[in-house]
Amino acid sequence: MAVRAIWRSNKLRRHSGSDAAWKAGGQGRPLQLPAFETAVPPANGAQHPQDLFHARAKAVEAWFAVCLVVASAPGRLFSGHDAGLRARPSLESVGDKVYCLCGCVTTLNRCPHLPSECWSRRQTEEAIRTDIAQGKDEAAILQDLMQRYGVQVLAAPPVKGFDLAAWLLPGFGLVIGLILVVWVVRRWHHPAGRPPEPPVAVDPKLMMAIEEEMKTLED
Amino acid sequence: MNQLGSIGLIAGFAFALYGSVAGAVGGKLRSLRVTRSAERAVLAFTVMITVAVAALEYLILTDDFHGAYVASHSNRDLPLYYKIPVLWAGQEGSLLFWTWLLSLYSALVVWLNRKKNRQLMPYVVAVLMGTGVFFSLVTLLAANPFSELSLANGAAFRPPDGNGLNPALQYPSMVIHPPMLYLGYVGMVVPYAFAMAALLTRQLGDHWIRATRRWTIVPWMFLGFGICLGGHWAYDVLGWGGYWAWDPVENASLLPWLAGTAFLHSVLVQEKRGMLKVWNIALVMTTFFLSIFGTFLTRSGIVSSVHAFAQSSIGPYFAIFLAIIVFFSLTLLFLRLDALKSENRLDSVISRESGFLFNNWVLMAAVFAVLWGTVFPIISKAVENQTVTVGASFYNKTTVPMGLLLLFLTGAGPLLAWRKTSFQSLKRNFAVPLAAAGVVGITLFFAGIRNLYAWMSLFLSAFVATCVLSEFYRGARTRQKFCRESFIWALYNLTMRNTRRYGGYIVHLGLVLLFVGFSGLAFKSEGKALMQEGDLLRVKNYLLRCESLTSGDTPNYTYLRASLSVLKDGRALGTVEPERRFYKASQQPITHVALRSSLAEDLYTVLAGQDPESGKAVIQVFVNPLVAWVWLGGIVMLLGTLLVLVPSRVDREMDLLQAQPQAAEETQWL
Repeated sequence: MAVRAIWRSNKLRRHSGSDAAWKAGGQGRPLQLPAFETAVPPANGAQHPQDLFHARAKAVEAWFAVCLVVASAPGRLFSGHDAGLRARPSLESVGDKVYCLCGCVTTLNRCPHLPSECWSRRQTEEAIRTDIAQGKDEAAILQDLMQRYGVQVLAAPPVKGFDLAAWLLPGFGLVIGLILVVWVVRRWHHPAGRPPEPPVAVDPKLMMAIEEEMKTLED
Repeated sequence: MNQLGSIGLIAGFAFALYGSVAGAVGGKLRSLRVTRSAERAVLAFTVMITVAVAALEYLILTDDFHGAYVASHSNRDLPLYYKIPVLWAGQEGSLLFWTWLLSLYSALVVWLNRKKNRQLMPYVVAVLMGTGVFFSLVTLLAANPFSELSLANGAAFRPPDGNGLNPALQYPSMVIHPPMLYLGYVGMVVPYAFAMAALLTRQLGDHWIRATRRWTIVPWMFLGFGICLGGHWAYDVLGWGGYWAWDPVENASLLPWLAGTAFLHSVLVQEKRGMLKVWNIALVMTTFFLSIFGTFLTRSGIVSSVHAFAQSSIGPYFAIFLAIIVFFSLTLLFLRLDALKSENRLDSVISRESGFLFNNWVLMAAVFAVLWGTVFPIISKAVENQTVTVGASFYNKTTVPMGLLLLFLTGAGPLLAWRKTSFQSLKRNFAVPLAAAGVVGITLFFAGIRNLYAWMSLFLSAFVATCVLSEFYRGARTRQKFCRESFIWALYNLTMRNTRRYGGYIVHLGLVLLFVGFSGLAFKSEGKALMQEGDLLRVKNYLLRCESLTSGDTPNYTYLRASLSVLKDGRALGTVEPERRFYKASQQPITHVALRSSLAEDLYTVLAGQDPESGKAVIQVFVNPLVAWVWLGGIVMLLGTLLVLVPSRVDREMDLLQAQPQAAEETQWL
């Protein structure tokens, strides 16, 4: 439906402007489109420009809806990599997001020491078990641990304040890199800095003869 | 022997200093005599550093505990095959080892270029020896492996035994893992030296790139293989069931490898089209910078790491050296910008050139993300005065999408033609791989794969594998048709005629296998239990029964061993015997994992310890799918890279054609 609406609107646009306007647009001057209120309805009996506007708006809406469905499809079809956040927290799931502070420089789950020989692991695991027993969700447990041991207990920077930069900059880097690549490709493909070609000296008599010839052709 | 080692090191430093100055002077004056003198200084530097290394190895092998280094990192009962790696087990020894590898690379560069690249060689020697000056100086001043132990009154002291080698390093793959990594780190200095020499001499065509192609591939290969060995070591020794933890030291090895990968791809654009000249120089600089930065990160202890077994005060030395590299490189690059103009324009947006640009974009974005995550704790400490941890979850969220994009480009890039790809060609080349990937994707979905990243990784792996295999198939079929050869013979001839291209495709296949292996992480299962004889533990479709718990004693360590019989779906698979060792000299425990590995999955068992109250063993069991594919991928990548290094028939013909005019031109210069 949306595809048909766009196809129809393109078809209408091709019929609505004059050939001269198309040519003018083609030569790089701004294309002057008639205002909707004063535009003359197309002679071939197609839609009024007001309808054209509605058709375009509907098409945009339809495409937006399609994009939303496509974008949300992975979330619906796949359980997702962040399914752990939605599931009920466990010692294992929280233990992957929390660092052991005994100096082993690994997460709680990967601490090479036994709880009996590692004070940090023993205390942190006990705190997590207590929070789970109280019915807290994962975010609340992590917040609780952060209050108790400081931000260093988290295995990843919190998504707030200055630490938000840790999460945002890789994405910014990717986007800026993409912009740079696109800019380079466009610049190399259509070199903007290329100097204009020098004017060619043409005999005025020859020029007049060419213009006469062109007029004959146009007639 | 300590004195001999010190003399070797001091003489090595002197020769490096002379070589560096003489190289620069020889290049400036265009003097063959001075340049040859600088080259001989490189050989003398190599001999002197080799003497120092031999002296240290002698001290280690003869248990001479007068030296602080030997006393700290070795002991009498350490087996011989673990005494040799003591050389690179600690800070001082590893810096000496770094210097020694640099000297070997430098000597090889001088020897192989004695009759070619004569314009570049004086400056190449100057840069190589400049790096040699830095490393020998740091070894002498801040981390001397020949310093002797003494008592408070100044008398010499010799302890009866040493502290022993870190137990985590007493593992077979650890014997070759650090040398591989170091060969990678150190080797990156050679392309950097050639790039700087090209800038200094204004020889900025693709000559320096051709001269350093193999010098870049070799360290890249060593670095990649070293990373795989490191992963294998972590998997087998650390006992947490994984092979990559995004630890800062692991990241330090990945960064130059990623930048080197970007460089290896973008040089192709310069070779074929004379484009990306500035970018290639910048990538060589970045790769070298990251190699030194990696060594700095590993050795200075500025970030907390599970591998931080070597911390000292060498940080400021490295910081100064890194600053010099950045200043010198950027200044030179800026001064030569006028000579680095592209020779061609992009004919089409859909072309191989664009493909390489996008490949470089993803790789460098990954470099940035990993570097940012690695240094963020330092930045956070400086800004907020609090220590933030950046763990695996951060890297998985930021780099996995980039990895998937890169995987797609790995398949799509080679299907694009140079200059311009027509729509018809796109349709023809992409149809089969997309169809194959579609079939795999749908099958996986209906087979129950619901993890998005794992599904995408397998879907794209199928796409890339089909792309690569179809390239081989199409080439061999064409050759079979025109040369009237059998398919196998045509495939062999096709590959050997252009080893660089087809070796590269094999490397891409290796990458596919790696990603298949990575996908398995999404389906990991684990279980943990306190066990004694007769106890059972079920994990996924495995049932384990503890048959016995035995303890023992060896000269080097004591151990506790669990014998577990394994049933899978009711079928007996034999026994596995995880161990926990306690090393006497270093007084440190370490786990020895027991594995049952197959292409489908690994059964990974760990004896984490013994419960002091009940006396039962703490047994951890992981079922890790597809891990073997990671090691297989590493081996295939290694084989592919080795194939790339084999001179192809086309290259040999071109070399013969180009050899004579180039030799004549170079004789004129000096």
